[in-house]
Amino acid sequence: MGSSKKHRGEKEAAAGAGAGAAGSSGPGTAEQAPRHREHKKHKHRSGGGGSGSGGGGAGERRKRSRERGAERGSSRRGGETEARNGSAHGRERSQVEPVERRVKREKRDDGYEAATSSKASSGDASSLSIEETNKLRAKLGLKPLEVTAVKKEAAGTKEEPVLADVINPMALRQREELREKLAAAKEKRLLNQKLGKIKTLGDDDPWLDDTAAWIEKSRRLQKEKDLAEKRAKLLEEMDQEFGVSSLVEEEFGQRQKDQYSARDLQGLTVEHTIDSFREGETMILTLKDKGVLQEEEDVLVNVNLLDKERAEKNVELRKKKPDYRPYAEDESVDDMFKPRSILAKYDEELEGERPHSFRLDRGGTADGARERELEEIRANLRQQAQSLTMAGPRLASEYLTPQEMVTFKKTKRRVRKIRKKEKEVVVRADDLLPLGNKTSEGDFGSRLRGRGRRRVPEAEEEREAPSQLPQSDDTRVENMDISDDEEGGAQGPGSPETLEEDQVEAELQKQLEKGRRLRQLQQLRDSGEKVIEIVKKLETRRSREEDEDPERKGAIVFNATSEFCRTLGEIPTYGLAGNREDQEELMDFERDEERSANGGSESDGEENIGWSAVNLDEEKQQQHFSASSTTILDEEPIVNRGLAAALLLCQNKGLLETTVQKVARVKAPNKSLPSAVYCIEDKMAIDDKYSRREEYRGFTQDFKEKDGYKPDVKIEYVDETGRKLTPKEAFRQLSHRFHGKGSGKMKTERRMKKLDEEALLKKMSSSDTPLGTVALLQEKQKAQKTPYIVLSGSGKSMNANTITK
Amino acid sequence: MRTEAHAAAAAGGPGRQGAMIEVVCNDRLGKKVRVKCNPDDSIGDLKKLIAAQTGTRWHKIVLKKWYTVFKDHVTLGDYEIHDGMNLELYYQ
Repeated sequence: MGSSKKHRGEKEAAAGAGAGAAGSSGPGTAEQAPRHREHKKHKHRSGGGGSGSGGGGAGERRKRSRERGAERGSSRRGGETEARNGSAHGRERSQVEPVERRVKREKRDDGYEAATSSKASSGDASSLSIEETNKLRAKLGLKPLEVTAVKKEAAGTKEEPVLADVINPMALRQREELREKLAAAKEKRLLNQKLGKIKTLGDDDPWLDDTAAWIEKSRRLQKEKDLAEKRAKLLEEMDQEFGVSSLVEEEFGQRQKDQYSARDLQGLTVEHTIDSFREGETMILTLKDKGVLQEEEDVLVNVNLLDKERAEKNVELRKKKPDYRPYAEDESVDDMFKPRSILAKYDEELEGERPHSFRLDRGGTADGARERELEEIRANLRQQAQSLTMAGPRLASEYLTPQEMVTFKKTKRRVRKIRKKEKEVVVRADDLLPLGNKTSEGDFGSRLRGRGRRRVPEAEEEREAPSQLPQSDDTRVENMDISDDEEGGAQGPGSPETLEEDQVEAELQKQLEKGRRLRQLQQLRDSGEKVIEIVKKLETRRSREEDEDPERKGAIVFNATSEFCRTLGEIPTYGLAGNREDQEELMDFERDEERSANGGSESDGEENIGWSAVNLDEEKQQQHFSASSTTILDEEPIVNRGLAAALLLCQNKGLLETTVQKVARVKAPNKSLPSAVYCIEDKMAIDDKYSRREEYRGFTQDFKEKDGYKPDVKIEYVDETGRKLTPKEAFRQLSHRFHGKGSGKMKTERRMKKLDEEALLKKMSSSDTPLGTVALLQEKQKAQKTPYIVLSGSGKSMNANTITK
Repeated sequence: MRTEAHAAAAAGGPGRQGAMIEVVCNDRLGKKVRVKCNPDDSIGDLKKLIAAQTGTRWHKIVLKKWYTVFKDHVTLGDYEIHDGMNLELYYQ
């Protein structure tokens, strides 16, 4: 049944009112007012119900009422809540209402409407009355509501606006006018009072027009005069009586007699120099300006003179004389008497100006007698003074003046001592001869001759035959034979006169020399012997050996071909292939074996020589080779000789990989290229002279076994995250590496964005919207435990968190 | 009726100001109560009154006004809750 709680409440309220439970239902009517409209709609139906239940069901309805007063326990509340939804609701509806009840109810409703008109308009707000509230508060332990019985706020509330006082503008204006009038009247009165005292022009004296009045006035005046005279006379008489009159007369007389004369000027100072006053000139002196409170004596000045003095002072200042002259000397006699003080230039500033002045003596006169006397004295002194200035510097003359010459005395000329010249000794070559004895002795410190004393006899000989020059050491050595005869001979004629040094030492030297020579010879002999031995050996061993170059005994010969052969390297040259001429360095394994087989213990010298164990066969071959060493093409090794020969053949044909393929690995500074099967052949290495030799430029063949092989080339490029790159991207990556620089900022950002979008795309779910709406929906439903979702209200108030019920 | 009116007037009901205010609490789910209280009552007391009227427990009530959560220890006057103000009723 569709009747709402509202209706029920209303009915209850109405019933309650009817039953007389004013307090309980009073608040209950509060919310009825708006529903009243609705109620009226359903009047026919619910009205009856309401009134029907009014009598009997009041108590019940009260139970079911949503009004919860303090007196109702919680149990009732619970009952009410149940009953609200219960079927008891329907019971009321079934009751039939008589019509008069409807009318009554209407009346009541009106009343309630009036009563509740002031209540809030929104629906379903339950409220307690004040008493109930107070009871509730008492139960809770709160103080009761503060209710002031009649307290009217001026403004009132929204619900019940209070009438403001009526402002009567007319009355206000009238009052104002009255006030103004009163004020004006008052002012007028005051003015009149003031003005009343003053005589106006129109208000003349009466006697001006009227002669009689004038006569009267004149008479009166006369009378007053007379009276005044009389009084004066009386006063004088009184004075005379007392004897005061004479004094008074005296005073008056004195004042007239006393006149200001020159006498009065005695002692006054005049602030000028006497010199500034010239004879026969009149100058007016005035008192110098002085402060009012200054108690000093008066000073007389002449204005013009003052100005002149000031001008002079300014001129002096403008001349810019030096301020400070520390070493100022007295320029004149006068200055001597001036007291010198330190930094006199500041005296005026610090102590103030002290102008020249003189005093007037008795009678107001002044004469400059004293000054003149002082002047005379000064003049005298000046005359007597001696100046300390010396004669100024004069340009000195270069020559003596005649006067100066006079002063000189003639001095004797001193005879100069002339130095004697020494007689020159004519030196002739003959004289040098005896000297030559000492100087021309050659060979200072030659070891061969000891200390050069052995040459003395030779020198002597030379002297006899001066043309004979002393021989050098080397030549002497060369001329020496391997014998000691010369020595002995040389010694023979040695004159003992010049042998100054120890003969022992000479002997020692001699012996040493001898020994050295002998050793050398021995060496030579030894080597020679050695060679001979070796040759003999060789001859015995290789009787058919060619004549060997004696020079090749101990020498190791290098040439390009031998080097080449050496670098052929690991694989020994077997058989007859290759250069056989220079085979000292070749590792001949067979030869070694033979050698070892032969058991020849070879000395180092023999190995150097190289031709050690020789097979007869090989000898032949070697002979052949040595004969044909100049041919260009090598003879092919015979393959049936063995594996070695075959290998050699293969090598020569290039079937064996002997060259080391140089593969340059590019060292990437950041990251290497992602593709693994790739290497860069460094073409620069080809330019090496020696490395080029290792290339094989000959004939190559494909392998037969790998005919059908078709390589499935699949080059995969990846970027740093591991993603496979498209060809375009791969090329871009390559070109970045090649050029050494990547994309700019914009480009990389775009690329990143694109990658992100791709990633997002991958992450997108197929069954849901990008925001995951379906998932959210399901979550919400789970939380709500309802299969639906209510979309209403503001997001904040309808959160799942806030609604717990 | 008249007695009611008088009572209302005498009590200084919502129309007239005592130092008593009536606050409306609404939880937008059908519960709306008008509670009379003093301005110097604390929010906690108000909650108790509300609880007495609505039938919940007072400490389960949260009074809010658009994100402003009213704290229990502050008075209505301090929160400047005047007569007739609407408060949002939530539960925790």
